[in-house]
Formats: sequence, structure tokens, C-alpha cells
Amino acid sequence: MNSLGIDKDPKDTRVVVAMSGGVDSSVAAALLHEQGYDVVGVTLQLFDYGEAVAKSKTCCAGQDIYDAKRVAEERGFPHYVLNYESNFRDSVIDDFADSYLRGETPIPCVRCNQSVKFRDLLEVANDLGADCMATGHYIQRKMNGHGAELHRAVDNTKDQSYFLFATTQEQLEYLRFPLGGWDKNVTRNHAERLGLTNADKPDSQDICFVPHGDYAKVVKKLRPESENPGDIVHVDGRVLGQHKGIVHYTIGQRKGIGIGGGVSENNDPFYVVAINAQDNKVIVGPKEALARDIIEVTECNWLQGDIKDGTDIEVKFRSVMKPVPAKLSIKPDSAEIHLSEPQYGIAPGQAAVCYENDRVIGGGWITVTKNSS
Amino acid sequence: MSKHIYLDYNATAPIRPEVAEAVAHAMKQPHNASSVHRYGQEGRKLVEDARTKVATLVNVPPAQVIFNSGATEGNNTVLQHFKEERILVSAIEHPSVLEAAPNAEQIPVTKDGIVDLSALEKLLQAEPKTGLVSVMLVNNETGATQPIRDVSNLLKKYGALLHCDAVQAAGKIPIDITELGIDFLTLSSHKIGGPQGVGALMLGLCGITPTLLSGGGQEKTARAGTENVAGISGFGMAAELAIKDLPAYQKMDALRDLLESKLPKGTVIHSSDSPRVAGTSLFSLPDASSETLLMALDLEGIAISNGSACSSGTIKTSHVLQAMGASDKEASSALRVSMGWDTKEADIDGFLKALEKIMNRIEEKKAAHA
Repeated sequence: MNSLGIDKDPKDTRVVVAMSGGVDSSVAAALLHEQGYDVVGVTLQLFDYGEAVAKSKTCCAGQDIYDAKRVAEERGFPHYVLNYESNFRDSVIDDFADSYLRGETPIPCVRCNQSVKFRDLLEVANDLGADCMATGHYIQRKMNGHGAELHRAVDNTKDQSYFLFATTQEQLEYLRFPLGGWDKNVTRNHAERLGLTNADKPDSQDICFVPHGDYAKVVKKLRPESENPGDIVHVDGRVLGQHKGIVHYTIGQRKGIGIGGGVSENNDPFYVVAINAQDNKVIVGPKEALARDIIEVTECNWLQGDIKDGTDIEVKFRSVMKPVPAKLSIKPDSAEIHLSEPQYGIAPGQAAVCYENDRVIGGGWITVTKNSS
Repeated sequence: MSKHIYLDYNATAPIRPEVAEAVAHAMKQPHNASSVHRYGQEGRKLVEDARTKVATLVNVPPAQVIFNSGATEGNNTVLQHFKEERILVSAIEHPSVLEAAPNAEQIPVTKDGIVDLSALEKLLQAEPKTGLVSVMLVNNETGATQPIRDVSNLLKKYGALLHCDAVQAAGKIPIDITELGIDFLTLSSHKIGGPQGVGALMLGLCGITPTLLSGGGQEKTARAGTENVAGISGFGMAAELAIKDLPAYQKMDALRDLLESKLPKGTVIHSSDSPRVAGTSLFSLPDASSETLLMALDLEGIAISNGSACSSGTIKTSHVLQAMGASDKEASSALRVSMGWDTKEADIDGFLKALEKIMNRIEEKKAAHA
């Protein structure tokens, strides 16, 4: 077995590396190439970079694509750019905009991993005769007697398991994550040792197709109705003011709600507790009104075969949070997650990702949240 | 990758050894062709010798050849000269024509990729009067030869001038600028085995000299900038060889026919019912993605194209196939094989073998998933 768990010489093992142009996937590709693998770098052109900047249809690539290409050229392995603009628009951007119109808070990165990267790109890797596909994600793939398991990254601050919960078992068998056992410093050190052009490139923070984090602007351009003003209503029914379009609000939000002071008579702050897309209303209330202990999820993906009703798990319903204890009950097309303690600010449209210790057992998309008390 | 097979001549042709020699020779001395001293005089001789050879390629007097940096410059020079006038361009022109005249009206083409003459006449009849029409001599993707003489006859009737991008025709078919009635003809050296970054604008008899760059008065003030003596010298050599080897190129239709006869069942060959240059074939494979095939073929050591690559290396849907009314499926599964002076039967065999291997692999995977 070679280091990728394939019974071949590295030089006879073709591995397609999904390269974003960032330092992580560049290191993954360069290291595998250094180990003698038949590395093929692939970068996806997901949207028209020229159009975003110059407002005209162009065929130019963004800096990230050039960076990925430079790394491949300097290390001496082939690299290709795939034009996935239409797949990305259909599978990710449209869904992103529609999700806001439904009053949800979407996570386009998961949709992108789920569709564009691990469905479409993986098929291309297969067509290229690759034995596996590697990415620069911080997540661990471990083998048990039956197959591959998905585990949290060693570096908790970099762990990307939340964004990869929708990876199917079949995809997981084919995927490799060479960086999952490291912390970011190890990656940076390798980048410097290998002299990669992008060794000092800062990590990306924004959603790739949203310039400067101004997601509302992007949604407004795609769906102008997302900026229709409407009422801000207190949970007790009082109209407190006007909102400037539901796209600007997220469950749990406290700042920038847009009502004078944003506090109740007792000087307690108001929170967005619900978004009623149908009536174009933003519902606000005290923090207590946010408490939920039941999460309903759909479009589930389960990596572990037989999960018993009422299994004890831990769950994350935001990417940056510590997992909290819960019980899981799986239904045919959905699941219900019962939290041991009520939690605050759970937003439909986000993912609920379930863990057993460090292992990702799967998850689903949040549709409804309830409070049993 | 054991063997390398190059079948992308329409993108750029491998440089001819004699050309590389001529360029290297010219680079050995400090030749500024405008200088008074002997090095300048030698440089001038290299440029003028090349001008005569390049002129012969399209049968124009040498004085009507203006050297420049290539057809993109040539096309921009001509089209921008007419930017205040009504311009018609064929829908299958190269981006360096389409983008240089963004407000131009497009002349449609038939499903075989030939400019539609009756549509052109209707456009010419409409007001305001047309100043310039741009139709290429040979299409870069399909290899289809356009009826330039018919176009120029029509234009005479309506008093419009003709620009013809002949980049993909040089060395492939005989070109006579006067006989074809062309007013402005553009060429690129690297498509005929010369160096990149050199080209020429050739003038017919209309008496207009479109000029883009001003400065030191080179090329009789038609194109300022120190002459690229080495590049021009190489272009001259490439032109000489292209004329000599024209009969050999025209016999390449045998190789093309061999290729096309061995493509998988269900393959659509574009412009196969039109007059085509000998060494270009654009075809759409059934149930294939040209994007994937181009990568897979490259990994097997075979360099081809789908006809419309972007500068970034991504693949765009061909505007030529769209203009010909091809389906999206056909457009996204198109491959272009283009041959030239160094292509052998073994290259075609190697391409067919690699293609079969890849298609079988994809088929097997599909069968396994079904």
C-alpha cells in the first residue's frame, strides 16, 4: 500500500488534486508530486471573474487560477482549468439567492462541495483514469474494517468537517485529504520549504463569489425582490418599524436590525427570532424567544449505516461552534435532532452536522426549529 | 507520457528548423533597420528580403506589405479605422475581429459554416451605407473556405470595402489578393511555422492605409515601432517554405479523410459538405465532453484543441458552432484536429489509439455504474 492507501507504486497512481489556488490545496498537490505520484492539478473556474470586476463578459481567470497554475508549472505537473460556471450558477448561486428569499441563511460552500466538487469534478477525475482525488481540506479520512470514515481534523481551529457532511460514502471511498492530520503551521512550513509562490497568501474568508463579503448586494442583483421593505414585528404582535428587505436579516442577529435603539422597555436588546418570508416580516424578540431544542433536517446524508433511534450524538448547527449533546432520530427522508439543552440562534438553511466523538456520522439541512417547553 | 503528438497547428504551428536558423542568424547583430550604419543596412536588407517573400504568399507588390505584431494587431488596425462607419462582420470571425468592432452587425452563416451571401446582400441593401465588411478566408475551427470572390463582387455593387483575415488560409490554399478583390488582408507568421509576434497587413488597391500606432515613422509611417528584424526575417523564411510546400499540404486531405473514417459511430463532422482546407477537422463525438477529452488526451501526450480555448486555459463553447446552429451537446463535445508541415500518418494513428483508449475507459465506468 502506498501513502494514499492504494496498492500501486506512487508513480503508477494517478491522483487528481482539486486546487483552489490557495496554499492548502497547493501544498497537498506539491507534496503528493514530491512523493512521486502522477499528480494532475485541476482548478475550477466557477464564475466570470472579469464580469464581477469589469461588468462585461470576458474569458479571464481570477488570481486564484493563476496561482494554482504557477504552482503546477513550477513543480512540474500538469494542470487544467475546468469551466464550471454554468454548473456553479445552477447548483450553488441560484440556490444561495433562493434560500435568502425563503428567509433562510444558506451555506453555499457546502452546496458547492456537494455538487460541483464532489459530484461533477469527481466524475471528471474518474474519466481521467485517476485512482483517487485529493483536496486540501482539513478533515481526516480513516479506514475501518468496512470502509472509509470521516473524522474531524486534528487542528480544531481549521476543522472543515462541518462543510463536508454531505460527502457520500461512495465519494469518500475515492477521496483523500492529505492535510487532515496537520495544523496550519505544518502546511505553511511545507509551503515555504517547497518554495510555493503562494506560501504567504492569506486564507480566504469570504464566499468566493461574493466580493468584500457584501452578500446582500449579490442577492439583490439576482433577486431584486429580496430588498422589498416590510414590517419588523415584535413576538407579541406590535409593529416596531420597517426593515429594508429580509436578505439583511439572520436568525440570532442583534446588531443593525434598524429599529431605534434596538432594545425593549427594560433595556434588553432585541434579536431576530424568525423571518417570515411569506408575509415579508422580520420577527424580533428577547433572547429567550430564540431558545430551541428540536431541529428538523432534510436532504440528509448518513455515513454510518445503521443509526438507532435515539442515538446519543453531538451536533453543530453553525460552522464555528462547539458541538453540543443531542439525541438523533432518523426518519425516511428527514431526521429530528433533540438537543439536551436549548440553544440560541439556530437558522434554517444552515446545516446540522452530527458527530460521534470525532467521527462525522452525517447530517442534514435545517428546515424547522422548535421549542418543546 | 512516452510519445508526443502535436495536432494543433491552427493554434500555432511548430517552428520550421530553417526559420529558427534564420531568426537566430538575424539576432546575432544589432540590427535597427532604420540605422545609417552597416548593421542598419544589413537589417534593412533582411526586412526587405522578407517583405518580398511574404508578398509572394498573397501575390501583392512588396510595397503593399506592412509588417506588424500579428493578425490581432492587423485586424484591430483595419476595423478601428472604420469605427465611425457601418461595419459588417461574419458571425464566425476570430475574436480579434469581433472584439475590435463590438458594434458591428453580424452576417449569419449556413449550417455548413459558410457565410450566407443572400443575408449579406440584404444587410448591404439596408441603410446606412456599409463602409467595411470583414469575412475571413478560412475559418480556424472548421477549416471551411469562405466564398471571398463572391463576397467582394457583392461589395463592389454596394461600394463597401473588404477586410479578409487570411491567417488560416496562408500555406493552405493559393491566395491572390487582387483576384479575390480584397482591400485589407491580415496574416500571422506563427500559423505557417514562423515565429510568434510577427504578422502583416497587406493592402489592396483602395488607396487607404489604416494606421494604429504612431511614432518613429517605420513601415513608411504605417506602423511605428522598431522593426522586429529577426522575427520578420523568420516570417519571410516561413512564407518561402509555405509556398514551396503548398502542394504537399493540399495532399493532407488523405490523412484527414483517414482520420474521419475511423472516428466512432455517431460522430458529427462539421463543415464536411463545404470546401475545406486539407488539414483541419472539427468533429463532435457522441456523448462526450471535449473538456474532459482534451485533458485526458494531453495526459496521453496528444495535443489537440476544441477550437476555442481561452487565454486562461479554460474552454468556452464555440461561437462558430453556435453560429452554425449546432446543438449545445455538439458544441460541448467538439474536438479539432489540425495538421501541418510535420504531420505524419503515425500521428493520426496515435491520436485514434489514445482516443479509443480514453473512450473505452469512460464507457467501462459508465457500464459499471449503470
